[in-house]
Amino acid sequence: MEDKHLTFQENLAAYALGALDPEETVALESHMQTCEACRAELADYRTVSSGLLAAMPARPPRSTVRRNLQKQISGHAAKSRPGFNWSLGQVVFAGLMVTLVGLNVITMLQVYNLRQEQAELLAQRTSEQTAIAMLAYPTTQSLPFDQNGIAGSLLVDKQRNLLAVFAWNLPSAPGGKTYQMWLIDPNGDRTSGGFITPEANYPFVMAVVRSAKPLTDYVGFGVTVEPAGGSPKPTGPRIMRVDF
Amino acid sequence: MQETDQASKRWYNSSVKAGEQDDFTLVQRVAHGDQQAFLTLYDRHSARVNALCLHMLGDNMLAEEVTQDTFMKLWSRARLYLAERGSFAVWLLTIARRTALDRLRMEGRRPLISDSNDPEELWPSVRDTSQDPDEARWKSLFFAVHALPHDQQVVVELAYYQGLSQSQIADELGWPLGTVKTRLRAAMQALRKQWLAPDPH
Repeated sequence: MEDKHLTFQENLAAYALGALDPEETVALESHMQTCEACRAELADYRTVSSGLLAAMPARPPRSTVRRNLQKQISGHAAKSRPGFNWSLGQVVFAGLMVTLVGLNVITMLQVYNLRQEQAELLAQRTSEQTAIAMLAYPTTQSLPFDQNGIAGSLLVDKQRNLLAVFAWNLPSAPGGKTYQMWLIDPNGDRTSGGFITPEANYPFVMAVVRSAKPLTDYVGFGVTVEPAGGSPKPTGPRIMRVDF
Repeated sequence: MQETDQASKRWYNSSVKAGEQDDFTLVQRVAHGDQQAFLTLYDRHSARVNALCLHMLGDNMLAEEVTQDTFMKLWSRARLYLAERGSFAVWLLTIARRTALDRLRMEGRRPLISDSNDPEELWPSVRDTSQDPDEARWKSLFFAVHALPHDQQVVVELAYYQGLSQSQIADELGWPLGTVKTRLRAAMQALRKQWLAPDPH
């Protein structure tokens, strides 16, 4: 053990001068991790090697060197400050970080959109199941209609305050417009029941209205054309009306 | 070790006179693009950097080119200097040494062997050492190197100033590797004794 230590100790001077061969360097660095005596001796040798950097008579360079440097740093300063001179590695790292953040944002947006679509599909499926269930319920009132080329049935379940409408041949709403459904009370006042939106490639459209108030408070159901986003009260032309 | 720390502190404060900013303050200003601070550091250290480059390369033009390269590295890397890792002068001279070694390797030149001139002729005009204790220590180390037996001087020269490993030195000089190791170690032990000796001032 002591012999080995002496071998390493003999290499310290060469190591301090950077003259140790590579394989011996690895072994010595490993030894020094646990040898305080070698580390201390190396520190002494390093002060000597540092001193050797200046152990020669000073020799000022010609004044052209200073002038050249002045020109160079003026050019550099105009382009960029040295504090912001990133190394290639830093630039690559920063680029990777920006790319990763960008990909993350895109992924989050995609997840958000998928969730939205999933929620819409779930709502649509629930509406369809509700409408089918209403068809099978004995107390559901089925009211056929055929107005303005639009035909279908209105299903009314006053016990559950549910209303479903199946409409065939309802065209897409004009640009910037939407179809809005209304519940009509005996005084002629309208309460919004939401929107009904035909889908391309489907000959019919179905929508379910869940009334907050008893359906017995109403006497009819209607659809009008309204600006996109809907209106508090009907403002556009009526597409259909079914009394119940 | 305590002596070593004191030696480092002495060097750390080198060349700074009353009323002047120390190297650390200046290098921080250089890191923020201060050209005047850069030129102050140049005026303070360029003679040392150029002397090292000339010693290693043996050619005035090459030495000045490498001196210029070294100071351009200072300009672009000043923010990397950490005072706790050592003095600014050592940091700068280490950059100069590496830059000079790169130039030696790039040019594939034969290693220079130390000349045998009288050291008193090489360092004749010593300034008033009572005003610059570092100058005295460097001069003392310079003479210690020249006082080494020639065989030991040669291995120190080839190892440190020409960047050769012990095996390469053995090949270059045709000496057994063991002889190179023994002479290098003996040389460094002698220099260590000289460097860590109490300050003559």
